Amino acid sequence: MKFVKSTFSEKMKKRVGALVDKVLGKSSSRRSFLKQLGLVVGGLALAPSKPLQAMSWQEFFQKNYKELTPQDKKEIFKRLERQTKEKYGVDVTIGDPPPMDGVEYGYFLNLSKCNGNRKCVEACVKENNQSRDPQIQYITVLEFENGDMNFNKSNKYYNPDLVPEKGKFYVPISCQQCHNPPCVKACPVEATWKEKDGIVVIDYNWCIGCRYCQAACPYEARKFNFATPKIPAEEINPKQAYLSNRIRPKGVMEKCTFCLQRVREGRYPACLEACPTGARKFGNLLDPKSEVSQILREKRVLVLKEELGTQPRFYYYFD
Amino acid sequence: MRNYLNYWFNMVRYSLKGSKIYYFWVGLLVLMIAWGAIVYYHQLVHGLIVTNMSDQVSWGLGISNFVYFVGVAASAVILIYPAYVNHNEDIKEVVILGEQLAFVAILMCLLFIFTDIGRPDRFLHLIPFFGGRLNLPGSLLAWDVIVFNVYLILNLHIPGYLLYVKYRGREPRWYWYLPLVFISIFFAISIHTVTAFLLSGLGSRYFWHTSLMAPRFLASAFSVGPAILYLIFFAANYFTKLNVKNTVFEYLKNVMRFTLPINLFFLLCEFFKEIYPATHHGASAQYLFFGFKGYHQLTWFIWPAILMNLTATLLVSFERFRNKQLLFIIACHLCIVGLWVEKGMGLIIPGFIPSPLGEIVEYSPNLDEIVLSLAITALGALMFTLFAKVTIGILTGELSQKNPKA
Amino acid sequence: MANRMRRKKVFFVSLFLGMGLILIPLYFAQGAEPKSAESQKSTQAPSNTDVPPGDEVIKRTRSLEMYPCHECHAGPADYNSHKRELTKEHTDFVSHPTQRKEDPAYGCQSCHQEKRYDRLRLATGEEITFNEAYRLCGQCHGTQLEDWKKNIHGRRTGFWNGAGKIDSCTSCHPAHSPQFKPLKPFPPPLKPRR
Repeated sequence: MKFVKSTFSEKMKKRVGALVDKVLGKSSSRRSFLKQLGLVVGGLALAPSKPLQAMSWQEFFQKNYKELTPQDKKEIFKRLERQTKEKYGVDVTIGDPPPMDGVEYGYFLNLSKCNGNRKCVEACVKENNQSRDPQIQYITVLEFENGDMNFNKSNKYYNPDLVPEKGKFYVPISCQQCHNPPCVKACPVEATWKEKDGIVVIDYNWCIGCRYCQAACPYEARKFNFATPKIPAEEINPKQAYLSNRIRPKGVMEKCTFCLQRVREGRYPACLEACPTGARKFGNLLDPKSEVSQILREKRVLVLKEELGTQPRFYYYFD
Repeated sequence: MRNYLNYWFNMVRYSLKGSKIYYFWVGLLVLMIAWGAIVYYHQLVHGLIVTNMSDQVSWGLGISNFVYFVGVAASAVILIYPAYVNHNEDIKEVVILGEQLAFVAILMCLLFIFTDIGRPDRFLHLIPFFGGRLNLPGSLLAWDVIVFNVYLILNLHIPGYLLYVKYRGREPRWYWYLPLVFISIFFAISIHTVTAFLLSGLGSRYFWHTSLMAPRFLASAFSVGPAILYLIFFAANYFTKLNVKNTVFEYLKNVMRFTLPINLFFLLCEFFKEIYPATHHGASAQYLFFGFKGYHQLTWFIWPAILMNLTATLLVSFERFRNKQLLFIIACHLCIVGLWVEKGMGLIIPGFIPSPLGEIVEYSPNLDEIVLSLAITALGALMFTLFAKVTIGILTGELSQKNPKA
Repeated sequence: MANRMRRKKVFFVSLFLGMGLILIPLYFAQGAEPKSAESQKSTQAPSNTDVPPGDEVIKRTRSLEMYPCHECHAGPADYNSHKRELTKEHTDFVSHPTQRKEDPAYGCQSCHQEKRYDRLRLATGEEITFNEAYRLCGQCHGTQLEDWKKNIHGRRTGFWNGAGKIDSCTSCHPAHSPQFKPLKPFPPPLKPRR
């Protein structure tokens, strides 16, 4: 193959050469070129700009939660409490309630009772210190038309004066804490895992923010902190836990944890207590006498997207 | 050891010398990289909120480019196989350039990931012996980390070794590189397969949950790779003293002759499977090709891309067109751009639309994201330019231990 | 001899009297044995099994506006249980169930005790307090009552692994217009910026 250099390309070369001469100066030697390069790079490095927050050694080398000793945890919680105080001006306590023995949680939602009032969303946002700007909400309430369970036709932005609207039914969806969670399988660094009592948790200090778990979740349960969370100081819930409702840093994932900080002490999740229709039920699936076991035995129970094999522990039923 | 250090010193010095065109090209790339660095700093300070990504479309331009350049990296095997397995002497002369292209492409992929994750300061969490934990065998991303790094190191060592011995004027010893070459063939296929699996392994994303994902990836990689290599060798013949033989160009043409039509056929298969039964699972494809619920942003991209691919395929399939230099170069360009759109906007973005709960949130990258992607591409181009300069110098004998101050 | 006989008589009489004095209160004390834990927590008669075991049913009378009724309905002249439309007081009344509105046999006296407005009456004639309204509702809504007893129906607050409180029916379903009222929803989420 012959490569004939045309006059056009010769002219272009001359023009480019002239431009380079102008930029680099007449003596376009190696030295001056390097000098120019160095000036540009150096200038950028020294340019005044908003500084990135310095990170302590301990924070950089902090291990995954599953490898932490009790002493490590104490120091880490103290450091986090101090950082929260500096950033948000609120005194908080960060605890670490362990899972209870012989307990596996189950959450049941009565679709005959839910009327889409979203009080659960409000309570969840307050209890779990979710960012108001950019807005993060763990619970999504979908409005469906009667007779059609097509997600592509659902609407999450409904805003009538009064709910429920005629001919519609409402399905609140949050993390289903699956028995076979695709997000846990997806995470490359084991920043999220399933605990003994069934809750899928995230170590916010280990997550690298790759968002693969968000791609893997079929229920859109996982939310990403695109920016540092903004929460008004008076609305911050000071009773926090390391694995659930402490205020997250930017760049990490978060999601519903069944209010781990409440349920591991025997209390109900915030959404359940806020629901005015009593559509939400929660308890221990391993206890045959609990209301959740009875619902599972007696009512018409279903799960969402069952064909994906995720085996959620968040069930929906009719009565 | 002293020889090796001198070698590096001489290489760097050689790479900074060049014609005016060379300085112009390098200067352009450096400017682009500088711009990208400023933009990236802005992203580090404020978080990924500066991009157009959202909870619904959480992967955008960065991951699209990642997926594309993985293909480019994998396509080094196109040259490695005939050079080392079939002992094709003409290709053996230039195979090092192919391996360096693979190295640079992998580096670009790693940079695309690094600049796209929420906490790049926690990259050590991915490296097993430095405090990291890899979720094996479960997570496909963890497998990706392993195969990427192995392939990176292989493509650092093999050309590095071969160049050094050429510089020293010695014959390479086969046990230093040949077994690794065969391993790298295996890894070239695996980086691409693992990347395809990390998409097709997600049951929740119906658009990606298809067995044809990995074959499509490979077909498009083996179309784009030869196209890029063809253009690189063409430029090398034009601008440098390297003389790439005709047989190399013919070989690349022949590869594209097969892979481009296969690529089109796979696209047809996907199209039929998604659109014909009209199930809800096909909503993403419906959105991509025809629009869905009034949203049709991507239709403006996919149909021109398909047209480009079709044109490239036709130009490559018929001898009349294939033998015309200018037409073939146009076909290469069409192939590169068309497949970029098909892999990026035609594969990654529709996977998120509609979201698993049926919401449609459209995405198009903003200026910051585009600049950052261009900057990383420029960084790759710059590295490849410097590598190629040195490689061509050593291969042509201009730079060697006997003649270090060339 | 007569003295000894008399002393013996006095001894035995006083013995029996003393025993009687001790035994008689004991006999009556048996009936007043401590109430079971269940009925102590709940607000109904000890024989009631219609409540969630271990839970407290929140007293309804605390929230009723016009309770106790005897403040107005003090004497026989203040009782009028004939079925009619109320115009002066209790005008928010809506008949429940609506399909029995025209049935002459079904009226106020079907649920309210005729001569004692502080109490409700069951179909058997048994008198119950307003705090046990669930027994009245449960006569027709047996399924819901069974569910309510198991904490499947209604709102339970407290501890999922311990004691809790549950609302009685009329806390959410006012007796005379029981259908759950529509609510104003909390605002929808913000749309993601492009």
